[in-house]
Amino acid sequence: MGFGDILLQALLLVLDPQVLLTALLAGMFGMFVGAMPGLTATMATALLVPMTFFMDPIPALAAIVSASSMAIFAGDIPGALLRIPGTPASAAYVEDSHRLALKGKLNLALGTNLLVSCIGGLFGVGVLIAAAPLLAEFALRFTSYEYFWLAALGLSCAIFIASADPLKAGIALLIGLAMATVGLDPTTGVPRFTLGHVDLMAGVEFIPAMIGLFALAEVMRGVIRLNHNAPPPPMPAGEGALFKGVGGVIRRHPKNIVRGSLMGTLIGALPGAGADIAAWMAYAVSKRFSKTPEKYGKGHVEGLVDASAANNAAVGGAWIPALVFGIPGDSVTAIVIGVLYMKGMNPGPTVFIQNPQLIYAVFMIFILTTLMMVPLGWAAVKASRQVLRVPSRVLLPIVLSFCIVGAFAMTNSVFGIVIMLAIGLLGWVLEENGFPVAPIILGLVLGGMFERMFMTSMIKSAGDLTAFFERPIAAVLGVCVLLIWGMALFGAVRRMARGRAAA
Amino acid sequence: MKITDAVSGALLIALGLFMFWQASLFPSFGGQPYGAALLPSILAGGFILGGGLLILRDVMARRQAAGGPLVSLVPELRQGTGMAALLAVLGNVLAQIWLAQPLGFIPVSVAGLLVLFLVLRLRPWVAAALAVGTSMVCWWLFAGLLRVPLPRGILDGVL
Repeated sequence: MGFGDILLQALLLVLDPQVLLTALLAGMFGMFVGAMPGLTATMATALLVPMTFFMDPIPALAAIVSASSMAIFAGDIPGALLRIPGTPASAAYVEDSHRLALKGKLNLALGTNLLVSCIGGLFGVGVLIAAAPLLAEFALRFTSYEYFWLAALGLSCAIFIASADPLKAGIALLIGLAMATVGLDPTTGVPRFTLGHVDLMAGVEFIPAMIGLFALAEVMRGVIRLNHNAPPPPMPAGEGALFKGVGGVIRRHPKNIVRGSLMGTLIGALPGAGADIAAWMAYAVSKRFSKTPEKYGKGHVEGLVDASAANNAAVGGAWIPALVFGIPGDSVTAIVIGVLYMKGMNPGPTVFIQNPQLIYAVFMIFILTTLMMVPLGWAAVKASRQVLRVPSRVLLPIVLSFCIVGAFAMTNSVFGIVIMLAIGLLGWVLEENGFPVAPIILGLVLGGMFERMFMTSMIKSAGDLTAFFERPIAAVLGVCVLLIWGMALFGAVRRMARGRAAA
Repeated sequence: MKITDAVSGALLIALGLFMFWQASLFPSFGGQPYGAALLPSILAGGFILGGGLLILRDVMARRQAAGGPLVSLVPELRQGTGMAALLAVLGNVLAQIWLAQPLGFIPVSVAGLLVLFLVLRLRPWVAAALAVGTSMVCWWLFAGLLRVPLPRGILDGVL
């Protein structure tokens, strides 16, 4: 099959009216969820998956891609209007965009967010399209050793790069990995930790766990914190056309857009670090290299450009390791990998050979939804004043209902609800005590692959650990993992010594 | 629920020991030195180590400043409707687990949501309309469009 045929097949898959309609509806859903404070892009995806479960792979993926990229942009809207970021990914520059809005530049702030998000998103997709097939060809030569180290690298990044408290992140990751060991052991078929339940033989069902962690726990936190006496916050007015003056901003800051997009894509591609960390880091770098760092946080548009480009670029970047290696770049792609497995499209380099049209269809959907973000985003900004008046006490119970039916739908039994409740409670308690929950989901998704590759390698080498470093790529990856751990341990020891000296 | 790191650490050590004990019961196969117990045992070791470090860190921090109680409620739970709302959310989920089979999804959902909306201080008629509307949309979307076998219960003949 020639490349032209592949593209044509992919195009036919994408231009199906059902796919386009799904992408549009999911995009509107993503806009809404992203714009509501307290509801995140990950939650949008988790609530969407039970519905995509019943679709063909392409519409299902279209729905997820569309919802997640829209949600990341939509998080900027309440940030500018209410000074409350709609999703964590918009938190980095909420101060700047709200102050711009107070100065009467609401439309400039949101218009910049929207167009720069679109450019950043396209940049991330461009890198995904260019890099993924090349990496896949490279990855075809990987054996269990390389995959073991890749998984280990992803898990290590989640602990040391993407979190403020590596010890607690590490424990959260262990909890995820331990959950992944529940069920029949992949090498010997022995049931493990099933406590005698037949339902647990197949393991902890992934999507209900996800709904519990990212939606139910959020609903619990939300209803507890509802403050009935607070007056509705005032929203600054926005006059005139949305995109007025935005062209000037973009022309003045081309370097910021490229830098933000590049950082976003790279950070997105790192396992465990997603759009929120990309935005924070791009904002910090922008401030560091700006000629006017003192203006940051006071209603300056420059940091907004970097960070808005970065968080949407991260959406595409996160798909690179997900499609090529089956290693999620962030929590949304963790869900995507679960969905791909359910659809029989096991992520990994072989998909690029066996079903290239599916991969190219995903790329096209990415471009399509990123472009669709501009009109949908425009409509969302226009409608936001009314939408943001929907109070949380109406919204949270509705989200709760969708959690319950969604979890039920994944197992067609109440067992899904039981898993959601147990893991939701666990996630709520953990997060209240400073344990991040994203590493749990990473552990749960990567756990199976990590153990399979580890056991295969151990059995092949008869327990000889030096075999893990015998192949060149495996050696490089292994050294990277050891370096990350070494540097982290060295830092911890030095901090402890300094603490002693101070005391 | 706020749990001090020392207590979480102790719980993690207990979990690690439990996993070790369970893993030691997994059958091993002759001629295969690495089996089902290998990774769980490593993870168990990780829990014990991580729990130990948490306790150590907490004890060191407490030496410098007096710590709070070992286990305490999240402050928001004691204010306003916090506790009632949390219980209503959990009640909704538990009711769907225990009562939906005999009674059906719709009655349990309507009743549960009505209670939750009222706890969140919505006006009664708004609460009733939202509870019925949300339940019907969920039913239509999942049982109708997506053919999910949500329990029909007492409405079996009607739907």
